[in-house]
This record gives sequence, C-alpha cells and structure tokens, in this order.
Amino acid sequence: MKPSLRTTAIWVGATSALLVLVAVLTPYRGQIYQVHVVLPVLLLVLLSSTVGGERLGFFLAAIGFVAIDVVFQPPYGEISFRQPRDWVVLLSFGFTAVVATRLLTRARNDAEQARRRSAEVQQMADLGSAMLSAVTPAEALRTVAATLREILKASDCTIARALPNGELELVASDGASRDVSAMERMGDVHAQLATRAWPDEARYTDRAGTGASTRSDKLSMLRQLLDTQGAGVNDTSGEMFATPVDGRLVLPLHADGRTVGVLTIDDVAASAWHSMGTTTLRGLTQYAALGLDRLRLHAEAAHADALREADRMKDMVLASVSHDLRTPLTTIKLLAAAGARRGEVASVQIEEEADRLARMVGDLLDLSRARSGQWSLALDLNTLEDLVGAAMRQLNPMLGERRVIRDVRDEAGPLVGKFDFVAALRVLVNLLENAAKYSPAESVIDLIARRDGEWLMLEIQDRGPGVPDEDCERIFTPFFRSPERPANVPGAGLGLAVARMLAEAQGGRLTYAARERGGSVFTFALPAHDSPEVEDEEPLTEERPTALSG
Amino acid sequence: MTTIPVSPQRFVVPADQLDALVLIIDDEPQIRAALSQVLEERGARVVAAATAAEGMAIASAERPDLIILDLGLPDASGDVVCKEVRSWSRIPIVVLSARHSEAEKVRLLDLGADDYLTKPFGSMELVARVRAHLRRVASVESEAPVLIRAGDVEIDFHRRGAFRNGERIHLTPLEWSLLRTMASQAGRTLTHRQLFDAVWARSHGNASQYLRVFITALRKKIEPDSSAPQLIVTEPGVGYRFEIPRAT
Repeated sequence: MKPSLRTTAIWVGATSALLVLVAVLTPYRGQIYQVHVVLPVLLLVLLSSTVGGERLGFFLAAIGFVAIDVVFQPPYGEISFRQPRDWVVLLSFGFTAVVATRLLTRARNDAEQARRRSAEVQQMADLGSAMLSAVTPAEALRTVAATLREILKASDCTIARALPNGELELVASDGASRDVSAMERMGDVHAQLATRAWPDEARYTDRAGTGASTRSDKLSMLRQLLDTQGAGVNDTSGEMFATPVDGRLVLPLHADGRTVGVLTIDDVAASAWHSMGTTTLRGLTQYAALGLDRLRLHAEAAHADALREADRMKDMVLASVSHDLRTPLTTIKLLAAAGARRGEVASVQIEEEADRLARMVGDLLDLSRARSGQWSLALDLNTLEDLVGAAMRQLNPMLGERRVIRDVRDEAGPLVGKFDFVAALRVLVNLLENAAKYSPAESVIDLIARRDGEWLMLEIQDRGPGVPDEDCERIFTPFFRSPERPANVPGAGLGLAVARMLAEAQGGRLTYAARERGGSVFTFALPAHDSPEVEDEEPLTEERPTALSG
Repeated sequence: MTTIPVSPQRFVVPADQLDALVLIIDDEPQIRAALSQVLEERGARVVAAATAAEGMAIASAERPDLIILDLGLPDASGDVVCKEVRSWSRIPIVVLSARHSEAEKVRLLDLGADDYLTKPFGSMELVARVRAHLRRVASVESEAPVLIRAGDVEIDFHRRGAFRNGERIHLTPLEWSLLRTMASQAGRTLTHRQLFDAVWARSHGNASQYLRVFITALRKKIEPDSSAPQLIVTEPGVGYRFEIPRAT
C-alpha cells in the first residue's frame, strides 16, 4: 500500500516531536530520574499511535527504547545494559508502550467497525424501506440499482432479468449513461455470458487492472456468497470475465435456488469496493434478486388474473347464451306442439329436437354453474323415495315405454339423508338418462335405493355394452364421448361430468362398476342421516287424536 | 257434497275445452303468439300485454280468469305484478321464467303466484297447469269439496281422514294435517314455507326440517307406489303439489 501524504506527515511529525523531546531533555540528564524521561516519551508514543495507528506507535516505541538507553542511561552514547535498574525501566517502558498501543488500536478498530456496521445496517434498512414503499417491482429494482451505484461510487448500475429462453432483459438501470447505452452494455454482457459458464462466474476487475492480488479476499467472499446460492466461482485472477472496461462487476442473482438475472456495475471505485462489507454486498444482491423475483411474481399474478377473468367471462357467456336460448326454444316447442296437434308429422320431430337442445343447454348451464361454484347447495333432510319419485316423474316423457324397475329397500334403516334435493335429482336424472341412452330400448333399467351403513346408495344398472376398463374414470370428464358408442346416441358428453361434480359437492360419491351379467352399474352414494325425531309420530298439531276416529 | 270424479290414469289430455279468459303478460312477441295459439286452440280467450304496466291495467279492467306472467319484463319485476294483483284478487298467476332458479320460484310462490314454469316447457304441461288452476278456482268458488277420490283412496274432509276401500287409513294428526292442507288446494304448488306455516305453528320450526320425511311417510300410506307418487307431487327445491288424477 502506498502511504498517503497525510500518513507521511503524521509519521514525520511524530518522529520529529520525539527527537525534539529527547534533545530538550538531554541537557538535564544528570539531574533528572529516568522516569521523568520515560513518562513524556510514553505519552508521545500513545498520542502518536492514536493519530497514526499501531505501526507508528511501535515505531516510536522502538526509537524511544533506544533513545532512553543511549541518551539517558550511563554510560551515555552507547547501547548498554549495566544495571538491573536500567533493565526494569527499559522493559517497563517497552511493555507499557506496546500494550497500550495495541489496546488503543483495538479500541479504534472496534469503533471503526461499529461505525461501518451501523452505516451498512442503515443502508440496508434504507434500501429495504425504499423497496417496500416502491409501488411497482420495476421501481423497487431502480431503487436497488441507484443504491448500489451510490455505495460503490460507480458510474452505472444495471439489473437484467433472465428470461425463460436464456435471453437477458434490462429491467432497471441507474447512472450517467442509462437507457440506450445501458441496453448496449447489456448486449455486451450478454454476448459474453453466452460464451461463458454463466451464471457460475463472477468477476471483479479493478479500475487500474492492478487489483489481481488485493481482490482475492473479495473473490473468496464472492465465492462464499455464490456457494450459499448454489453457484461457484472460478477465481483464476488473471482471467477477465467482463468487458475490457475496467472496474466492471458482474454478479448473477439467485432467488429460490434459480438464477433470476444479472447485476452489472460499471466503473466501481476501488476504495468503495474494498471498504464494502460482505454483508452489505450479499444483502444488496439479495435485494436485487428479490426485486427480480417480485417482478416475476407480479407478472405471474397479472397473468393469473387475466386467466381467471377469461374463465369468468367464459362462464358468463355460457350462462347468458344458455339462458337466452331458453326463450326461443319455448316458442319452437309451443309452435311444434300446435303443429303436431294439426297432424303435421315434422312437428313431432321438431319438438323432440327442441327438447334435445334444451337438455344440452341445461347441461352446459349446470356445468358452468357447478364449475364456478355458483351452485348454492341447500342441504336439507330428504328421503330417497322422494328423490326417486321426482326423477321418475321428470323422466316420464323421455323414458316412454322403457321399464325402470325400482327397488326401494328401507329395511336396513330409513332412507333419509342430508342432501341438496335439486342437485341430487340432477345426478339421478342424468344417470337414468345415460342408462336409457346406452342400453337397448327393450332392456330393463334397475334402480335400487338402499342403505349401506353411513351411506344412502342409489344403484342404476343397465344392460348396455358397459364401459371399457381404460375409460372407467374418463367417462366422468366433461365432453368425453366413448368412441364405441352408437352413432345415434345424442348428447355432448356432459351428463356424467355434471353428475359427479354435483355428487361430490354435497359430500357424496359417484362411481362406475361393470355389471356382472353385462352392462354398467353407476352407484351414487349420499351421506345418510339418523335422527330419532323422524320416528316420532307424536301429535304435533292441536288436533287431538280422537278427532280422527270421528 | 261435491265429488270430483277421478280415475287412476295420469297424463291424460282431457277432451274438454278451456272456457276462460287468459291474460298473457310477456315482452316477447313470439312467445305471446305461441302461447295464444296453444291456448286458443283449446278454446280459451286470450288477451296479451307486453309490459307490466299494461298487464296490470288489463288485469283490473278485464278481470281475466288466469294470468300467465313472464319474468324479466322491461318495466317492472314479476314480484311487483304478483303483489299488485294479489292485493285485489285471487286470480291464478302462472309465472314463466328462463332462469333455472329454485330460489326465484319459491320467492314468487310465496308472494302469491300459483305456479311456475321454467322455459322451455311443453304445451301439454302448460295446458295441464292452466286447467288445474281454473278448476281449483272454480271449485273454491262453488263449494269446497268434501270428498276427493283419487284412485282407490278417498279423502273425506267431513270425516277428517283418508279411506281405502272404505277402510280408514291410519294417519297421524300431522300427516292428516299435511294431506288436508295440500288436498284442499289441489293443483297448487305449496312451498315448503307455506306448508310449514299451515301445518306447524311457527314455534315448531325445529320439526319443520322433517317435512320431507313426513311427506314420504304419508305417501307410503296413501300412494299405490310411494316411489312413483301420483297424488303428492314433488316440485324439486320448491315444495309439493297435490294432483287429482283426471278422468278421461
């Protein structure tokens, strides 16, 4: 290290002061005790080490040691240790001077370190609050860049983010040559990064190019920094990573174990670089990395918002279209019925087609309602008999001559459960329609209602072709249509999807199994409900039982 | 004593004509035309209105026998029309809606509407409902029925009970109360709330949650097949309706 002018002046001044002191005291050396010499010299040594540091202290202590021996201890003019008393004086002086200097220096260093730490903490805190108060992630990154540039007394600081395709995108810059030149510099960096093992390298080039030896501590610190981030540093010091522009620092930024971008600082002042603490550098790069991560999350959130909005719009359009289709469908049905009454054959078909369309509209509407969670469930005590009766009534026109054999078994307990009647009815109707569609017109459909422990079970058995094993679950996904189904089977493949969604929404289950002697068994399970009051047939009206026999 | 003739058959279109004045309030001209055609073909006279205001004016001037009210009118909600008409008359109101919402049905029925049809509905269904309401009103105006015969079941209001082949069917007081409430307003959909209020005192709100369970028990006693009920019909999510099977 080259001593500065101020340091030199302090050294020369302190040394001169000691020599003057010795010169002034020399005429009185016969009349004074050695201690009268030792104390002023010791004082001067301590004062000098306070101002000029440990080395100056040791230096003056050595001169003082020699001066005391040569000038003030007889025989004068030579280095000699004749008397034990002289030994005590000299050793006491030397020991006190060294210990006191060391203590002073340590105190000075401690104070200096504390000051630097507090400054670093202040910087981090300022940056943290600036980042938090920044409205947009880009603004926060600009704050980080500005702070880094200021601390390192650099000309420019840029932060670029790594895009999924490996490209770098400039997101923030601060400094004299921002904007266009910043982009150009990013281009430079990127060109080099492309040919290097980025992001595993970080380089610091000293302004004068002479820092190869002095930056080893920084590089080891950087390596440590990068190691904790899952990267490594190649510190072959002669190799320059960045452009030939001196004083450029290139650091990869990591968040969540991923490289999220690159920090570039140009024309870093060597003094600032050397005095910057490890914690500060680590903290600042982490701030930059966090800022980039925030930028990413921000973009992802915006994307998710857009997707959700699109989904909502889709559901709205679906609901609105389905809704608006109902009115014209009503007109068509009414007019077709009128035509059928007049004996127009085509009218019957028109009405059937209108019904089919209406069912599809209903399915679409149900699907959008179930998917968007807009189907508000009313969980009430209901009975399976009621459900079966309502389903049979609703399907009467569609089933026609089709036989549905109902078997309601309530021996194992009342078929009472807490479920949403409308949703459960939709499930049952869809299952029965499905059975009717996929089995021969003359075949029988079995509908079994029974109790199985905590569950109410509805089994719908048809004698159709069944479902291939690989499709057992897929049949419950929207718009799935079996490739083997007969061409004349209508529907959009929504019935089972809607059914399962509604079954599960109210705590029930819907499963498929192959029927033993061919065909399908769909089992719709709903939670059963036991209540003693159900059996209670005590009079609840004011009418007395005697009135019944009247 | 008025006895309503019945047969075990259902879904039979009666040959008799609708002899009534029906008011259609609907802003869609196509629906108005189609409804008019269906009803006029069966002998009804039809007046139509495109707005709620016009509809209410015609209703008070012409005193129709039945009102068909489409929801979603441009000038006022169906609630307003229902309340207004109910304030001065018991004219049956059949509501039409494109919305598949049970909550809306219940609200309108509680407000005094008599029935509710969700679009798209068939002409048979419409005519059957219209006919049921006209008949109900006619019977109320003449004399309350003392005996209703449905299949092999007789409901005797005078003897306060139901009989099968002359033998009394054992009903609990609650079941009788439910049956009497529904049968005396046959053809009209009663919401769960309306049934609670008629059968339970409001203080028995806790028991009211078992309404559906009691209905099932009642059906087992009076219906030939309780899993395919023909007398007490479920209006899903809304309530129940007593239907008297019609003779051909």
